Amino acid sequence: MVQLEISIGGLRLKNPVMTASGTFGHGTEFAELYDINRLGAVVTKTITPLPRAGNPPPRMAETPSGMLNAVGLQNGGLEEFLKNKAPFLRRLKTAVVVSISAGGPAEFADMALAVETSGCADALELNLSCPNVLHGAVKNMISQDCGAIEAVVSAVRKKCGLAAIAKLSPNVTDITKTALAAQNAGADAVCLINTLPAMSVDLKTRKPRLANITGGLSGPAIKPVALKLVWDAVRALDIPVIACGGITTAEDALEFILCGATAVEVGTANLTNPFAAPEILSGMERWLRENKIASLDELRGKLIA
Amino acid sequence: MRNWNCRLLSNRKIADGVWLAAFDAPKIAAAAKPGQFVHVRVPGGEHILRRPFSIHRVDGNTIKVLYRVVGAATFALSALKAGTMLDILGPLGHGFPAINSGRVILLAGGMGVAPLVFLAQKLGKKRGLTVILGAKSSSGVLCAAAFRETGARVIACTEDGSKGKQCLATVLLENELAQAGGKTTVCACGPNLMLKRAAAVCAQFKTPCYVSLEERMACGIGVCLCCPVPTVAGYKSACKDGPVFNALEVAWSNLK
Ligand SMILES: Cc1cc2nc3c(=O)[nH]c(=O)nc-3n(C[C@H](O)[C@H](O)[C@H](O)COP(=O)(O)OP(=O)(O)OC[C@H]3O[C@@H](n4cnc5c(N)ncnc54)[C@H](O)[C@@H]3O)c2cc1C
Ligand SMILES: Cc1cc2nc3c(=O)[nH]c(=O)nc-3n(C[C@H](O)[C@H](O)[C@H](O)COP(=O)(O)O)c2cc1C
Repeated sequence: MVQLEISIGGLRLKNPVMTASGTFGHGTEFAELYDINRLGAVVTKTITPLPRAGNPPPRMAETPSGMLNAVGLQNGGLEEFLKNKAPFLRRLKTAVVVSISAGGPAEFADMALAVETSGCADALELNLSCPNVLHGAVKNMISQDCGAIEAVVSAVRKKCGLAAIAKLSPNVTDITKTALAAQNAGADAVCLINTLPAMSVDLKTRKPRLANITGGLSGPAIKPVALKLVWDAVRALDIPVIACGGITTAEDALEFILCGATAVEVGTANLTNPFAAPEILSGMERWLRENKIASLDELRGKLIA
Repeated sequence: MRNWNCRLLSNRKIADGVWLAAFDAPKIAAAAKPGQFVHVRVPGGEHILRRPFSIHRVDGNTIKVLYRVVGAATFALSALKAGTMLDILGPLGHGFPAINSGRVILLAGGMGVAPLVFLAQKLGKKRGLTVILGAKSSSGVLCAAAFRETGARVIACTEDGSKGKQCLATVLLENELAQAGGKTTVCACGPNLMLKRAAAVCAQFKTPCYVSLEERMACGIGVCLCCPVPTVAGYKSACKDGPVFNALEVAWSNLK
């Protein structure tokens, strides 16, 4: 038996394989395919206080070893979530991380409290970094502004006792600054990275491939970027870093652990292979056994550099 | 629904740029309904996403896919040899509803024949079936023989007049509906412009119309929300709620 347990704040996860928000729905579709309770945690699609229709089509364009999406946080809103999604999540026998987004600190805190009260979540992921939704007057992502990060995280912290993960954007000058802002405001972990703002253009029609013109790049193409940012953040922070970005195989996941990540989130890989997450988990177990490593702690942060 | 490792049995060109692939896929063949699709992982190259294809025919344990080579993955698919194993997810989505009475008209524009051959196969010889095939020119008129084999009456038209009447397929549809008395159901697949026009014609004759829509998709199972179809009740997912929709449900003015 290899030791895969990890903890985030007060929360224990049986293994470090989580799903990335927006690539796993609320778990119901995948539950038809395999026992999703095997995963360390299920992270749900970001919900917002009110329903959002999302962006018009086309919302997706494939790029070399990756894809762009401009879904625009289509979701049924908090009320619909509590009514239709929460009951399923409450029955899960693994940790549930509910991803939330809102217009500002007070709204974030109200959402956090409502989700906590519903009893369906073991932790929250604060989506501060959706490239398809900009916040207010600054026309920026919250996670591009250290002051805004601190305001949101501390507002949530004050109102809600659940472990809080701050999900950050790669699109900043210095990831350690935004990650430290989250840590200082009381985040229990950071998740790196959300998608990279990007574009795809069709020369023949002279049009952008997305109706929204810009979107977020994900998939294997962004893994090297994510590795570097995780490596930077791990050395600056005391709280756990959850790695996300292009993780498709067990080896990918282990590379992030080697760079110091505490856990991993599987995103786009769920869309190309619906069994990606459990396959990554069993692949990690196999690799550790074969390399006679009894615990992930023996590997974590042991990059020879 | 789940994924299956399927053997490619044959893969051949049947018309200019159009290929027919057959897979040994007993589980998909047993469950498939006309209008559903398979999500195929095409090996090789820089693409990571699966490719959606309508189920074109089911013969015993074999499913067939009729596809046009338009880009990297369909090109890679056309180069695969019999014997290759492919990871195929399916059958996916909601197909055409069961049609239990009245006559049926199938309307296909170009590659739109792909799901309709399976539907004609299922509807069988009993039903008075009319198939309208529209294309730009004669080389784009596909599968006429396959439709005739099911006992259907086939009428073709082209935009350049090189085969059948020189007109749009929806003009033939309008003629058929104007002539026919009694209950008729229309099932259509093809370019959005044609479907939009067909929906308008059917609405005028108060004829039920079902359309199969295409949208770029990633997961194919309704989780990523990348393939929205505008409907009167807001966006629905082409992959999970469709690809077949009741034409009355589609918000045509918002469909590109
Ligand atoms: C439900 C459904 C059923 C389909 N059935 C058939 C069929 O039976 N026969 C057939 O020839 N084609 C069918 N298509 C279209 C087919 O999926 C595309 O032609 C194919 O994905 C093109 O891939 P490519 O790499 O060769 O082209 P590229 O243009 O390089 O593909 C780039 C991206 O755009 C997407 N894309 C390109 N064209 C389309 C399209 N028309 N619809 C949706 N996504 C597209 C691709 O999947 C890929 O993600 C269907 C599409 C859908 C949504
Ligand atoms: C279709 C799609 C939808 C996404 N939706 C969300 C979302 O709602 N909230 C969020 O925090 N991240 C969202 N993401 C970002 C992913 O969670 C993840 O951070 C990113 O895709 C990078 O990881 P990957 O390369 O493994 O996909 C989405 C990504 C994709 C591809």
